[in-house]
Amino acid sequence: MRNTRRAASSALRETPSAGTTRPEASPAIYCRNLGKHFDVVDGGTYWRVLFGLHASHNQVAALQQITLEVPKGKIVGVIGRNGAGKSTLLRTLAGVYTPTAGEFRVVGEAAGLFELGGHNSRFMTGREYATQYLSLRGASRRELEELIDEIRAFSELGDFFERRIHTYSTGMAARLYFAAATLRRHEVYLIDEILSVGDEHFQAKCWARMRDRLRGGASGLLVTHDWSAAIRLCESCYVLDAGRIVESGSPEEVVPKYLNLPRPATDRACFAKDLPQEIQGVAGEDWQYQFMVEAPGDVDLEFAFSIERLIPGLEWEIIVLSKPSPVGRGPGRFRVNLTVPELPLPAGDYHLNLFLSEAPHGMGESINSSGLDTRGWTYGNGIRLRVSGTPHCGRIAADFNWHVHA
Amino acid sequence: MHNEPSIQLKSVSKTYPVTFRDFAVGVFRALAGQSAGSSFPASGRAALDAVTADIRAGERVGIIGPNGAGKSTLVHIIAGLAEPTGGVVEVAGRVTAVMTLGLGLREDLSGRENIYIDGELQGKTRAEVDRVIGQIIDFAELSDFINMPVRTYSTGMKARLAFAMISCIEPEILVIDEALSAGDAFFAVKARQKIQELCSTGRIVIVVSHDIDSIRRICDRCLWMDSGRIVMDGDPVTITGCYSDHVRAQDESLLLARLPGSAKEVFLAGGIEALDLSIHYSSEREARRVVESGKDVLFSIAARAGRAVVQPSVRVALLRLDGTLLMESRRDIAFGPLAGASGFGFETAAELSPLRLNRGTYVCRVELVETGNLVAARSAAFEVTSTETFRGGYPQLLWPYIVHSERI
Repeated sequence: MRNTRRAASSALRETPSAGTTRPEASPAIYCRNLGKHFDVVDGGTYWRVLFGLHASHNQVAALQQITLEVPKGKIVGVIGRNGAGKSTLLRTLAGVYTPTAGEFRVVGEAAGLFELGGHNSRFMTGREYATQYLSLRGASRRELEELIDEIRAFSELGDFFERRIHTYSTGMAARLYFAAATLRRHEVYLIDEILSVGDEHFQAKCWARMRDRLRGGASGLLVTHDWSAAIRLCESCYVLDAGRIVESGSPEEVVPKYLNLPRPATDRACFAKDLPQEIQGVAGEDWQYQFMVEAPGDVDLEFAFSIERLIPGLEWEIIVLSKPSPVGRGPGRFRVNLTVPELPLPAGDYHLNLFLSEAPHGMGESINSSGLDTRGWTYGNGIRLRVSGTPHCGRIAADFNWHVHA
Repeated sequence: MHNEPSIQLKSVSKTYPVTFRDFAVGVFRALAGQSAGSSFPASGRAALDAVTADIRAGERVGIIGPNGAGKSTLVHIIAGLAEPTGGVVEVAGRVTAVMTLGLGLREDLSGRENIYIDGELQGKTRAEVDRVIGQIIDFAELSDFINMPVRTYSTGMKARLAFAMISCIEPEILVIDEALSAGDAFFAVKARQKIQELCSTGRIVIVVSHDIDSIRRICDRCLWMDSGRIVMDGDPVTITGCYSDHVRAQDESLLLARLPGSAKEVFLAGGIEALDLSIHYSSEREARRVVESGKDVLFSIAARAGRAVVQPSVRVALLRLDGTLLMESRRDIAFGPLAGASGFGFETAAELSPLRLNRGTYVCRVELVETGNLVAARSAAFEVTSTETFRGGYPQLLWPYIVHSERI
């Protein structure tokens, strides 16, 4: 339960000096040159303390010179690999750690969706946990019962709600903690990779709830190594690496830099150099695209493509994905004709990704079939597919056939 | 030293006491001793129910099943971390278990010290550990941190260290419980390669995972567990196929009970008596809740009203579970067979020929509109199945395409 108190206390740290800036311009979360160093405690620490020296001669810089801003009503992503300092950043903003350098401000009541559950909740029942959680958050006795029922319903625990948490599976406990932590609306959310709880159905529910909570003008910071979650929730992103912010911008630009995918070797086969940056299509009509492949090497070529929709802050979805189709055997030049009948894409912008690879030989599927050349947005060299046509309400430009029954 | 590692399980059971009575029964069993105890069954929640299996050297066994099926309990028993309440477990060979990555690391010692201690526990000499320690540190990508106390590590760093430790000490029987999901995508790829490498050295590897893909790649045998029993045992492709079919073709009532906006949700304004929706293949009349992608699917709609309905029209929409609208279509009902001043009724159907959605759960929603106002609505959840698998993603649609190439 320690987190709860700390997260709540961070809400009180709202600095009164916020009045000096114009209120509409003040961001929900703001850090400038934030740094966090940890002292490494080793065998000599006690002696150094005893002799009045500085406790440590060895420090780890977990965060350095972090400057970021979360505007009111927006959710900002911080993506980074393991050990990049993501959790440290979140804990610092929640007030669990005190920063060793710089300043930060969290305006509004903050809810930390990380390290959920606290440390001594295992011997409570689900109901006891919910009661304690709500009471600490200041729920009144009158509303308590109603709120607990809501947690019970959302977490779908059924009879297990009356059992102790240590009899739960990990997923069940996570459901309970998520349900409790997101029950009420907060002004600021600090989120650490929690959207991956449970099965397809429960995940859809979690996403819907998160979106609902964030839509009501709340702000949030999501730290994650799952870049696709960052794309779907955030309009802007920072990349954290070894405690420093190395990139920032829209996820569409930042993710390729974060992934830093190795450019495939193109000496044996490649797409023609003059592929356009942008091509056109019309919703619902047959779509054709023709391009050249050059293969100086002796190689059995396969081609695959995908069409993706990427709307930062809303969704990232692969709409059409092909299986590898044979192209021919090099050396040689090939003209490839790609047709998608009745293009199912409503008017808008899409990413077209092209993959050229070597056909697997022998038995079994090739796990690391060698890529030869790739055009794709995650590599930073994607092709934009601009689809025009009459707008559609749904995400798929296809229609039902209506029948009248006798 | 044993000849070959092997694991034999003979009707192994494990019950956890839930109530005080269960607890009392457990105490009684313990007091009564082995012979009397076995004739008097333990009571409580059965996590394992008479599991019998035989795992021989060189087998790479994957265990799949829904949450709470007893997978973890089984591997805990194999690893000797839990005692069965019934049956016999015979394990020949040293078991190295990775349950929760990072568990068992000594927080106050440095990464390097932890590696030596762990090596010692595994019966390695200092010289043997010295030989592999560089490899472990490289694999864990810890560089400078290796000389710092483990408590200063982030969660991901701990997971990497723990994984590197077990994978470099060449265990005889390796048990991995959901550990593949630890770490970021970069490390996951490395970890998977390492496991494949280990598997090829002929040791027994047991992997518990929800990730069907990795089980198919790593294992040569698969156990499907449900409610404490082994449901199926065989080659991974068949078993994982059956398992995913089973998961998909979930009980209709369960689907109905769990999904919001299923057939229960119906809204009828005054005078509207019924709005019905049924989903079936175009060639059949039988209503379905699970349809296969690529077939012609009909959404049949019928409405009845006890009064005249002015300018009726019907709207049908397909939505994803999270509420995203995929497609919709609207149709004016020019006339119905029962249209008139005294009453109104019609039957119509919207067809997708064929249905091209990829597998998943979707919601179909129909609405009856009178002069632009919604007067009745109903939705039903349904599942789409497909056997198509793709490498590198999960497309929303199974849309046709043609790739034609010519040499020039």
